Amino acid sequence: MNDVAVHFADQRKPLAWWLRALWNDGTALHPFGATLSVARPYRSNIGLHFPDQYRAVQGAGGALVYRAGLAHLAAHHAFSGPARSRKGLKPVQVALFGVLEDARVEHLAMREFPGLRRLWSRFHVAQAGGSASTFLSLAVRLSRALIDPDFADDHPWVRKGRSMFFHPAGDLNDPGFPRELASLLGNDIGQMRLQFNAKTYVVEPLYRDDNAHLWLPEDDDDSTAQALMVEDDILLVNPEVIETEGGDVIEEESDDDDAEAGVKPVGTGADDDPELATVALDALRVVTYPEWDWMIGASRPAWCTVQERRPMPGDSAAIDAILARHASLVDRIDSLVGGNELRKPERLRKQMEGDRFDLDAVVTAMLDVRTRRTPDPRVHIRVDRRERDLAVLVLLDLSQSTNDVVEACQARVLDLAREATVLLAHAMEKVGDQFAIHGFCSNGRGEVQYQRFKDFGHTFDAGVKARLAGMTGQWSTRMGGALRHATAQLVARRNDRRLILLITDGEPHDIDVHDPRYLLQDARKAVDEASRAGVFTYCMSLDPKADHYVQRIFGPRNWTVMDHIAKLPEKLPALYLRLTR
Amino acid sequence: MNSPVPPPSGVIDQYRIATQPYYRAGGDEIALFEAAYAARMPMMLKGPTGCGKTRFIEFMAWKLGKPLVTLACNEDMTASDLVGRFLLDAEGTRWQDGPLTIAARHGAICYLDEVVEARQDTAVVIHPLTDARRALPLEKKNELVTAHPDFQLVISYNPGYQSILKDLKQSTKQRFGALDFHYPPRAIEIEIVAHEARIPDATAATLVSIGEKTRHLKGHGLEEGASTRMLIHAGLLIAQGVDPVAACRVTLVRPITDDVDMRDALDGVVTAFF
Ligand SMILES: Nc1ncnc2c1ncn2[C@@H]1O[C@H](COP(=O)(O)OP(=O)(O)OP(=O)(O)O)[C@@H](O)[C@H]1O
Ligand SMILES: [Mg+2]
Repeated sequence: MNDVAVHFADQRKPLAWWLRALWNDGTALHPFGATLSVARPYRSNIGLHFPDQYRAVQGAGGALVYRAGLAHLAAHHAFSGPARSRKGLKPVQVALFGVLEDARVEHLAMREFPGLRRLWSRFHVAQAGGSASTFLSLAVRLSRALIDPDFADDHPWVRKGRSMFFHPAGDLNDPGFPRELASLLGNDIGQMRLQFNAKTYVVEPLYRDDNAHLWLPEDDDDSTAQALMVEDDILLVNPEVIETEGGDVIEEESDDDDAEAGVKPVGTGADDDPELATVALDALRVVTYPEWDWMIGASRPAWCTVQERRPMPGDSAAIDAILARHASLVDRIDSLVGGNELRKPERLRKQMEGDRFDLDAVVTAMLDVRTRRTPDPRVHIRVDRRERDLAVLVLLDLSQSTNDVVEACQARVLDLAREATVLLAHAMEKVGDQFAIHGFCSNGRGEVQYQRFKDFGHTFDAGVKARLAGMTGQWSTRMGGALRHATAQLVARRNDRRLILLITDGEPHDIDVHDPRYLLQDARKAVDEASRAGVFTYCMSLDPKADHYVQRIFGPRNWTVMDHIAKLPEKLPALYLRLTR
Repeated sequence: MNSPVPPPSGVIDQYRIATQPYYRAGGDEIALFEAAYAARMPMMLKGPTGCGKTRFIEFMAWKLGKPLVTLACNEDMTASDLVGRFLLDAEGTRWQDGPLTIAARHGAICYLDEVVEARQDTAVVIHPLTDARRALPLEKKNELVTAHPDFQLVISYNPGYQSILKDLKQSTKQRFGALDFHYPPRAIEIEIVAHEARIPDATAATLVSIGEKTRHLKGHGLEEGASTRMLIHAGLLIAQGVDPVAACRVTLVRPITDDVDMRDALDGVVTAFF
């Protein structure tokens, strides 16, 4: 019973009654279609919104996630007070304010309902110790330290946060209480040089809401708050805009929009720029990128030339054979993905582009025009699937070493990578993510070869399959240049989330470089640049000895090392689905 | 006095309340009732089930030093069940006074619990006792019993749940003064639950909180929230060492609903407290 998905529809009644009993509150509860594990409950002016289903979480039935989430939102409602301005807070401090505020309102609620501690704390599973090299890894530990009195964590920052939070002089009843703490602890994060990305930050654990309601929306003079602003816009569902029909506003609305927007079959690429696809086929680009020299601590301008090459087609039947051979794995992927392709569209207000005008935004913009202020151009309503607007670029290392034969299965690394990629493509297609499959190898800084087997605009058709079938491995691994080129492709895309999934069997290396640290440091720099451009990089390494260098390139969390390369075909799609769940 | 077969002496004594019942007043109901009694005004105690109406009238009878005749009404009840009937015995027939007649004759307080449950034609027999006549005609016996000066009629009435068809006639209602009863204020209800179940105040407080929360659902899936009586029941099980969550399930959740979703919600209310 524990690992079966729990559906909101089955929980709505008891949840609504529970809300009314405990808080004498009759607020409406609504489901929204959720496919990413980053989907969080939220409050809008028409009620409380919950993911339409949860798969089993940490051994707890999904019903308890709903209950925990509802109690948390109710605690905010009871204790969080009116929204406040973000001014003067850095993004990391905004996030920390949320962490502390979440803990504060939960403590206040637990004064009346002591049993909620058990309900909530079962979702706090962060462990002390281990690497504490990202903000998130510490934030989840602090969250646990604030709710679980038995949790021991010696990390100085966690200890500090805990003792300040519970300091006898502090008044948990004061809604301003977390602000000063958030500032102090946020500065410490800065001093520890821990990475924080407001754009990808998601509140943990998953029962907690996105905390958007804590903040006033009109705060965008602070450019660092932009990432959160986007979320705000998404979350404000305006009842005036929704044409109510009968009881359940959201659901009626979604069906309607499905028809309107004409839900397109996945993978036709109908919403991609057709020109981009043509470019991929015909115009082969040559682009020169800078390279980072760690010795001089500076970039060497126009140092590395990426040359696009047209892939040599092979026999597409080989790819179909892969799918046929892995039929049971394909089935498993299909059932893992489940009904996720039927995502419900959501109505996004204040968009740059969209199907129709957002009346409120238009009125505001017209007022601005009349009073000679610059109007906000975001005046449209767009129907979108905000839960999963993901573009993935699979980047294959096609260097000479991929021709090595893996003992366990008597197949070349290249063949395994190809198989895995085909299965991964199947999974991505099934989920409805937009994806491209590219590969690279290098022959000195003047010639990083870059091949596009499948581009974002392509369907996974015979042509793509033929190109994948013809894939070969040669030369070296100049990762930085390839990553920069891949990043440039993704930066051009408008998707919410953009991911480079690099599949490699070794460390960066090239014929004209003798300092092993040089290309490694450059690759690390390229990953940094990508992340600053809003592109997330994840590395699947097939080199069992990779631990000592992948971490230095990709950071503490964004990589996996496959110990049994033979298992890659089944592991890669699973990893992908988990990563993007 | 006029009865051919006078009741054996002391028949009314069995209705006397020897020791002081525990009653914790929530307001000025004691003084109001004393005044009403002084005027021999018929009284109606309104309020949901299990909120202390019965306990209150027991306490008042004790305080006023009057016997208390209590009768729980139901729809199978006939006028004879109230007034009395002829019984057959060795000598032939013998009249036996019903509870209402006993009370009227001997000057007791007669408490008709849930009088709406009785059929309308049954309920009207009380009318002559509730106006200036203060008399009870025993038609079968051809006797008019004049009420003893100490006699008072008290009925209970829960306006909440019965159908309109079952409601008391206006002509009946208007004969009574009415006292409103509710679940007592929190502090008092805690005291009551702690006292009756012999549990610590803290435990009683938690039970009362649970009761309060369930009462939010009145009209939203529940006819009525958990009563003080149910909270005491939960406390009695806890006092015996039963796990509080289990005790609440047995005494609060299961009896109050058959709906699975409501049961889930109420179970969730209980676990929010323990
Ligand atoms: N004010 C009070 N003082 C003392 N005990 C109380 C009080 N209110 C309720 N109780 C307790 O609650 C129990 C139930 O109360 P009681 O039987 O008087 O309810 P009721 O209103 O007469 O219910 P019903 O309408 O079902 O007859 C009592 O046995 C007593 O233990
Ligand atoms: Mg929150």
